[in-house]
Amino acid sequence: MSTHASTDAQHGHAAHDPHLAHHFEDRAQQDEAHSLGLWVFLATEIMFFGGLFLAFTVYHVLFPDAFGLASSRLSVDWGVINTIVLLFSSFTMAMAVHSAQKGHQKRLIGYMVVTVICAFGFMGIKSIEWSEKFEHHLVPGPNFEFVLDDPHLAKSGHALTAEQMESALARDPNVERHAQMFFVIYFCLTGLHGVHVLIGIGVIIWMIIRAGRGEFSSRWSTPIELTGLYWHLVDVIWIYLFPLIYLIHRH
Amino acid sequence: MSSIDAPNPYQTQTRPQSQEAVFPLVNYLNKTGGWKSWLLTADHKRIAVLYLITTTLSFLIGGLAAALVRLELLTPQGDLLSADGYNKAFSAHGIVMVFMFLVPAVPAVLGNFLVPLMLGAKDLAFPKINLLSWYLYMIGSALCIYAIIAGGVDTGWTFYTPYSTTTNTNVISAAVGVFIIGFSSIFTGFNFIITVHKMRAPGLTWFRLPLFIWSIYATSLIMILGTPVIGITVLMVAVERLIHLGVFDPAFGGDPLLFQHLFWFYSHPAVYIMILPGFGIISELIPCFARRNIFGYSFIAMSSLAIAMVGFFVWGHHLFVSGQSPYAGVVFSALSFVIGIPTAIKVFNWTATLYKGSISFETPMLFALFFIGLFLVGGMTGLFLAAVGLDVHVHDTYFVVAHFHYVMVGGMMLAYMGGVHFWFPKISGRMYPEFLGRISAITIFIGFNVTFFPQFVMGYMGMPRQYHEYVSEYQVYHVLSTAGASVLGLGFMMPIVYLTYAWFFGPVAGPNPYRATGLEWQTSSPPVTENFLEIPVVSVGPYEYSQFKEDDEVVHSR
Amino acid sequence: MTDQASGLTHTEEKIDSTHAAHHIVSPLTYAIVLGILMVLTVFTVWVANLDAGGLWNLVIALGIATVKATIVTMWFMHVKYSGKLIKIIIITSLLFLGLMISGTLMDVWTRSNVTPAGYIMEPEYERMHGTEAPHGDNNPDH
Repeated sequence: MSTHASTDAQHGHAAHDPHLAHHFEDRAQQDEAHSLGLWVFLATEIMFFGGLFLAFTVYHVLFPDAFGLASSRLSVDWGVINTIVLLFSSFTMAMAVHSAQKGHQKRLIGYMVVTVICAFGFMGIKSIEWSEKFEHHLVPGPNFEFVLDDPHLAKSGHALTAEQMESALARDPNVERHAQMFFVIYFCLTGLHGVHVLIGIGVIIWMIIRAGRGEFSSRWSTPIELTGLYWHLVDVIWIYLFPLIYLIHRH
Repeated sequence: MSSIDAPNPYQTQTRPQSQEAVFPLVNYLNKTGGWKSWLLTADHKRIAVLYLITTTLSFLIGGLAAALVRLELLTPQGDLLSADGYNKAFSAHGIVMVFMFLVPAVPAVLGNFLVPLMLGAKDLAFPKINLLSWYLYMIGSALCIYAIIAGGVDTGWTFYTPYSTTTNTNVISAAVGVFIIGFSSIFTGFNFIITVHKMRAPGLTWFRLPLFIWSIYATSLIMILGTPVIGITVLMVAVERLIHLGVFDPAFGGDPLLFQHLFWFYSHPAVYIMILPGFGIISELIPCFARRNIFGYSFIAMSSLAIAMVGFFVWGHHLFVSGQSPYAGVVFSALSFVIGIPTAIKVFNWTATLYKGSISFETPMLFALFFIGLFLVGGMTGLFLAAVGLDVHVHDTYFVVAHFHYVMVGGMMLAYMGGVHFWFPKISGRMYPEFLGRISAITIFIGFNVTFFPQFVMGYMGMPRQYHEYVSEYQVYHVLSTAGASVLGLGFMMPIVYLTYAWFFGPVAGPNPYRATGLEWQTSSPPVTENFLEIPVVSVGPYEYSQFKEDDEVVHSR
Repeated sequence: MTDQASGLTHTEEKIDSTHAAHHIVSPLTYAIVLGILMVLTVFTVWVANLDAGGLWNLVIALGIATVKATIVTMWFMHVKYSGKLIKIIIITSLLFLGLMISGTLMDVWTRSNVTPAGYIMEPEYERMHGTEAPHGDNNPDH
């Protein structure tokens, strides 16, 4: 496995390593510190999203009918497509890390470009979904309007039968009002996740620029690896968001 | 500077301090000059000094608000402040003291300064993130101060919904400020964890770490696991106020108790963020001034981790009378008693260390001994409050206020004062005036007890907290309390004055004025920018005071 | 890939070979992982259409999500090849998240069995007052 590009020969010895910060003893210590640091950061991210997941869980427990009915207003198709887009971008990011480790400059840039395109695709689909919510008055606030016999449902063939509506109202007379809580948390969760996607796009573009300057090699790929870890976490969070917000409604 | 070149870092100090008292010509304070070199520094020691200055300012602001509160309570009538003004004063006191002083004080000042020194490292793992955390602290604090000045906040430091989402005060900027300070705290804890894991000197194994490092490590765990939760919570409050989402609003089916769960999931462990580093300081002071190895090292070390972990299991005891399910209340109550165990382990081990020690009463030791007594009272009354039945009686009374201040002022603040005096020679290179130090320690101890002991009594009798008017039979306690607070205020002002003076004009301290063990004493005072001229190699545990035995006898016979 | 396999003990490794600390996984493995993830995504949608009864739908959906998330962390994020510390960090953060959720649910699940003084669940409010609890859009001060 001849992974050492010839340009690396000049550095690689600790005493002259330009990538070694002065307060570290050697590259091994520095790399381990950086990778451990990113994992600790990811742990804080889990707790950060955790607050919203807790809110989701509590209100789901309190208002199961409202959450089921509200969730059925989301488009599962868009959700599936977005999941696939994000999973694919995770794959290309993993391949980018692989290329960086092997020292393939062009493939590294290529895979990162594909990742960014997927990320933009994800945000594009998300904005289509959000704008549908605006049109259907499903954005929490003064214009929020959630009725069980919504005409949009009849159009898409998901209309509720009279019995279903009656039983839902019998269990929770305020089901239409409580449905707003679902959309509150829906927008908070997908919004916060979207912010993370945008940050990811920024970081990856920055990495593309740095890779274009030839900064990375098989001996120096830590920034790419850390970017990859972050991007995979964004994917993992979506893996949980998808069933929670799209798939709880079926019954 | 012979100490730096010595082979064994723990066995170098053999001569009396006066012969070594050399002020290093080049050190971290004067290596580069100009305000830019300070504001753009990545040196953990300079960042610690920046934090020292700014947290002291926060302490003064918070103290000013406390003075307003105590003055108002001198008489049963609301004559100094209106009810609204009083609400804003105690909220300002709480927000500033908790988020801008208690949480960052020990970790960001002493922790920042000492962690790399105690580990034999050149700096923290992420120096730039360390500087970023100070800037976040400044931005967040500025927002909080802005909220207080521009109209004030009247929710208390807890921001309970639905009041905080409906009141017409500056909750948004205060909440965003708390959010940003939270990230400063996350970055600090994050840095410490990586540094402790990856940057220890050769030979410095986990069980040779000073106990201060253990407690800072436990604190950092709470910071990174808990702080994100308060971040997202106050963010939700801010968003709810901005666009009326209704996450916690009962009118939308929202659950105000959810806010309290989220809030206390962080904020109960956060009181351990405040007190655990204090425990660490005491664990350093007691062996040094008792001239003995610490008793039960591994128990103290593990109890720090246990407190950090168990601290996350008990938050529900703040919700006993908020409408939480009584079943949950009983579970949380039982769990809350568990946390008394690791805390008691520490107190027993400190006192066991004192036993048969040759104790001297320098200023830091006075603070440490006062700490043990006052923290004991604070901790034990905490168990009262953890019992559901008794809590129903004393909830929202001055009993809670007194308990909290016995832990936070009597505990954390005294430990912090002890730590600042103990490491002042290391930070500044100069000694503080010993006599004034002892006077201030005694003044603080007396003032503190006169301030807060009456609050236990009146709280138990039923004086509710957060009222600016009260029935006149409580006046005697309030007058006592305000009188004590004046003494306490004087006690805290003294060190600010004489330490500032000693920073510039105090006698030169030398590398190790207390003949203490620990790597931080093996380098010059103040240290050089890279901390050690040669990376030390450690071969013994952290509190080998037996090495000073002969020297100690000489000092005592004089 | 074999000469890169020792990702675990890199503290002992020489400075010159620090790149060995970064485990290199073959593209084929990544492709297989991606394939499995896609299949699981389709599967979770298909399963959601079946009525498993009660909470089971949610449990199954979250179970599949956990399998997917584990696959991503193990292979894409190289946790399979990382040291214990990384695994401890991940498990700790998940345990604390679980603690927060279960502690709160302990309250929420048992709260409706009793009505402590001063806290009235909304359905109770209406039963007692005979009116709907006030709507919040314009008058949130109750």
